[in-house]
Amino acid sequence: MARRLALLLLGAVLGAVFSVRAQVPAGVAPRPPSRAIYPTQTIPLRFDHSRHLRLGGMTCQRCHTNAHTSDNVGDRLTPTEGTCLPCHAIDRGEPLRQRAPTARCDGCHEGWDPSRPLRVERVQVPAANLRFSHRAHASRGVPCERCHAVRGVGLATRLELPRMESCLGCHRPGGAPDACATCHLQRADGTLETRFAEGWLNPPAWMPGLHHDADFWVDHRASAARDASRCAVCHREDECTDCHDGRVRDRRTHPNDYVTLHVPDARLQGDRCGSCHRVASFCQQCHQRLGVSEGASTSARIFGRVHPPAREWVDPPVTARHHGAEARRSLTTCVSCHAEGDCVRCHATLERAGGGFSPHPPGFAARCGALLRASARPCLACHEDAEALARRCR
Amino acid sequence: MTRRRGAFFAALGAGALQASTARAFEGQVRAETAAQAWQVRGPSGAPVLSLRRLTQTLSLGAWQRPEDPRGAVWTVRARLRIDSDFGGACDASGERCLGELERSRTADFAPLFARRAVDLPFAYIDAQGLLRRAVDLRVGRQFVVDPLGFFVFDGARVQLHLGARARVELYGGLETRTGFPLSSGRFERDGLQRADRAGWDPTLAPNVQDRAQAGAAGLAVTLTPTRALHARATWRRVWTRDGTAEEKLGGSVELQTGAYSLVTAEAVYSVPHNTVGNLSVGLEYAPPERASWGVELSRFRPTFDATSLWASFWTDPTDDLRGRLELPLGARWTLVASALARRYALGETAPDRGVPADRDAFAGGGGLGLLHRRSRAEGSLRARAETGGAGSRGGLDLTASWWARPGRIRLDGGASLWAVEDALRDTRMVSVAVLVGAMVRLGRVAEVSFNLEEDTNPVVGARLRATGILRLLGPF
Repeated sequence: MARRLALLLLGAVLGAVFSVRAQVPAGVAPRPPSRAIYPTQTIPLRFDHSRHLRLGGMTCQRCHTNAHTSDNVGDRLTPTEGTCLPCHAIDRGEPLRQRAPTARCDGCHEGWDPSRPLRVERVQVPAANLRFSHRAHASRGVPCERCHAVRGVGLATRLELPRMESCLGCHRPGGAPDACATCHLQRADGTLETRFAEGWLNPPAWMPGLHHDADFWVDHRASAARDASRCAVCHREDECTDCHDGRVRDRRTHPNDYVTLHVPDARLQGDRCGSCHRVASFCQQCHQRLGVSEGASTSARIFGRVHPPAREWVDPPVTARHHGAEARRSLTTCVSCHAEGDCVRCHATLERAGGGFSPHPPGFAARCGALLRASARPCLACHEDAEALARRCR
Repeated sequence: MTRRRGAFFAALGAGALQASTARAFEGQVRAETAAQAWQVRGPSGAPVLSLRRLTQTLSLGAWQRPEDPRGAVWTVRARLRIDSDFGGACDASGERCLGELERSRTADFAPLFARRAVDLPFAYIDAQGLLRRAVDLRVGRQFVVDPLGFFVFDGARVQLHLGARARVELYGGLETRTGFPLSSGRFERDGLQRADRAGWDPTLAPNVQDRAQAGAAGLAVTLTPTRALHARATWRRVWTRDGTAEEKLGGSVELQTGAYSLVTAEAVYSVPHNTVGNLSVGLEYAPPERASWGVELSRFRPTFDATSLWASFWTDPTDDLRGRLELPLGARWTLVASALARRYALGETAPDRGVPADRDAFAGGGGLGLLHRRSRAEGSLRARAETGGAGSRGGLDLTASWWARPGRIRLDGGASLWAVEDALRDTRMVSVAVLVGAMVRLGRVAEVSFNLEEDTNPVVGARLRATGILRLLGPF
């Protein structure tokens, strides 16, 4: 039954893989770039790159005069009125005069108001949140259009700015420097800056295994385990220890009144609790102080009922409310209150004055050798003769 | 040995020479002081823990980037934490308080409780890109995060980059463990209670083990033969005077099967337990600005410190099928959903001693959430219900935040309503909680936040929880 279920689920997963693959379009679909990298621009202009580039002898550098010498993303590289003047006979004294090519203010400036002829809406192109040198690229002979595909474009906007996928064509292992910090801004401690005025910088969707969705803070374990060096590019260890060794409760994982409500959660998700709490110290410490734990000081011990009545919890038969079944299901929960000695009392052999009730799984004798070779200490808590054990354990 | 040590120092020297052409160190200091006050009452009503906790952390990060982007990058990172507990444990009437720290009062003594804990979660020097970017070296107290779980040790880790497609990691040292100065032991394997028993009467708290050093060694190989495939194999062994505490082999693979789809797999094998502790396979599909989802099928069996008694106890595996969905509903709204189906494979082990095989048990649950985000505000409403696992719970959480002054002052609020059933204690309970809070940024270097939470339920009645945090951040 179990195998059939596993095969069914595996089939479903594989089916999903191939169905997903079939849906994925060839290549990466065009989409707006991150506002964290390229903040929102305001370009109230009429302009057609494709039309200009069709003119004979037109080059990018003709209008973007200082682009090839720029070392800083903060440099203003968009053309000014003076750049247009050699071709467009702009005359501020006659802003409405028809000429070819256009010289009227509203030929280029959207929303220009003839009643306030010297006022135009400002072009705002904030600096990208990157480190970038046009000079370094131009000096290596990288043509502008390799990064800025504007030949068929009218007004170039954020959409025409280069994406990381295209950068990685050259910035790859064995090629141009490929460290993230080659282009991305860093904090003073060496990690990447991820908080910007227009949002957080998250890994792009095409970067496998790093998709930071809304519940990533609770589902990131597998991604981090597969390669934590990827996380370390942006995150410091502080951010790990704030939660995973935390001293201040994280309300996202522990909703209000969690101290009172944690019991069924710990039984159901005990494996997840272990990612932040060491059961035999964190849980035990509080349980001992509150008198819940078997090892609590006698003054603090509570005498109310924590477990089902002894006739169900301790005596046979083994039902779902028996401690044996609960231990098999969630031994971690037992360890949150009990120490080894509590179990040895009954589970030790008769020779060690215990009850002789074996806590081992069926077939344990056939494979206990590995545990015995690792450490005889726990074995000798219940058994007397280590040599006899070594003979019995394979 | 001498030759090996010589090679090590030669490598360090080469790195140092490379770094000599670099710029000066840049650095950042972070300090955080968190004050918390709340009460916890045991299920029978007494004693009441009045917790007054002050946690101070100081983090330092400094790094040096070379002029040449192919040069070595040196980084220093450290964090110091002082956790002080001023609270007390008193009976319900408050007339008598326990002497939890006095070993002479054995009836009151709480062996694992420490009034003040000072620890150093990490402190290391790291050099990346030594010897023409072929070697990374980290020395000090450091983390390892991999399929085998968190691990913290004092020692050295060397990473060798074998071309662009493979790297090998070797590490060794002493595990950071409970009972030693500046150690928290948080990431020690579970199972044993430990403390520094120096000066304790041997008959006092016999279940608490004395501190013990543990050696550790590990190896990991990471392969990225293509951009679509990432694989990692890892091994770690930890040993003490009592024997091998842990020896695990693990592996993980992620395979990009399409532009936005990914298949993952992970397995961890425990050598002393002779069992697979973790096994999982998953699929993620995460296109930009459209519905993203993931499913994971996993098997989990808890494994404990191999020197503890629990390592030999009968535990049955649990099989989980988890799913999650995130669906953007326009620019401001997002729907999130998750589901879990769990099987406790209690019937899987064949009886050999007349113990009847149990039938499998099942548990399941799911959650649904609606998230809203605006430029100055965000909020969420999440519902969750789970049953099985000897209990059930279900509830609603509402949270809201509003920037009264963008980037400077934020107001927070929340409310919860949860119903819980404990099948082993035959109890049912409804809990209501409300929370108010605020955060104020003082310039670029300081941030103050506080919140007050009022919890009401039949066990503790009404209780107030207060938290205040001061964060300071500055370059040097």
